Amino acid sequence: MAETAGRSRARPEGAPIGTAARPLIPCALALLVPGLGHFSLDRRGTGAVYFGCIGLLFAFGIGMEGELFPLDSGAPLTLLAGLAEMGAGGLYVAATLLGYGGGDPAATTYEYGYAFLIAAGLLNVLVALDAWDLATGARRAGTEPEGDAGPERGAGTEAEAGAKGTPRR
Amino acid sequence: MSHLLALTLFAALVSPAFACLMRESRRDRVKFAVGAFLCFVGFAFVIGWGMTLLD
Repeated sequence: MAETAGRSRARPEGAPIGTAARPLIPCALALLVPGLGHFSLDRRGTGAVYFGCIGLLFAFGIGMEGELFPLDSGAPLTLLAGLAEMGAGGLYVAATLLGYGGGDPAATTYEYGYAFLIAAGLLNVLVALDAWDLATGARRAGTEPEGDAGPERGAGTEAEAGAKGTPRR
Repeated sequence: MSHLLALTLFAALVSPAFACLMRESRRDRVKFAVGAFLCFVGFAFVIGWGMTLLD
């Protein structure tokens, strides 16, 4: 709650969370590590969910002998799968550098594995675009604070009702 | 690993991420995540049984 209160003090309702001139930074951070862009925008709970879900999805994909497809393949579908997997950003680079993601087509979980890896990459792209939207204010952040269901629509506090001159029933 | 375990695992990991993308408040996110998870698993059962009956 303190986090929410801090955000509402820092900016007016509906205003962008980040610096509007630099939306690229949270977007790039999100691509580097899933959820890091939302962490930088002070949405730590959301960032933790993204990090856990996408990280586990990627880890299970690697564990299931999924393949990180190369981009130099002549097959168009394989190329698209490789591009989708690259959406995982830092995870893709780390796994490649550490020698994971070679894949074993003979394994029974091979197809599951690369489906998990592709899903992780595409989800991370969506998360990065969400961080961009939050930073630019395209998505109205702060109208319904994170971690709180917020007041019911149309309802207000006694103070708000008094300020508007309309007595609450 | 069975198909059911794989799809349940997939649904359990993807649903919360979609919920955070699509909804703002915590309550709405939990409702969306649970609904999406049940839809993932439920429709897999429906389509699976449908394919079995067509076979």
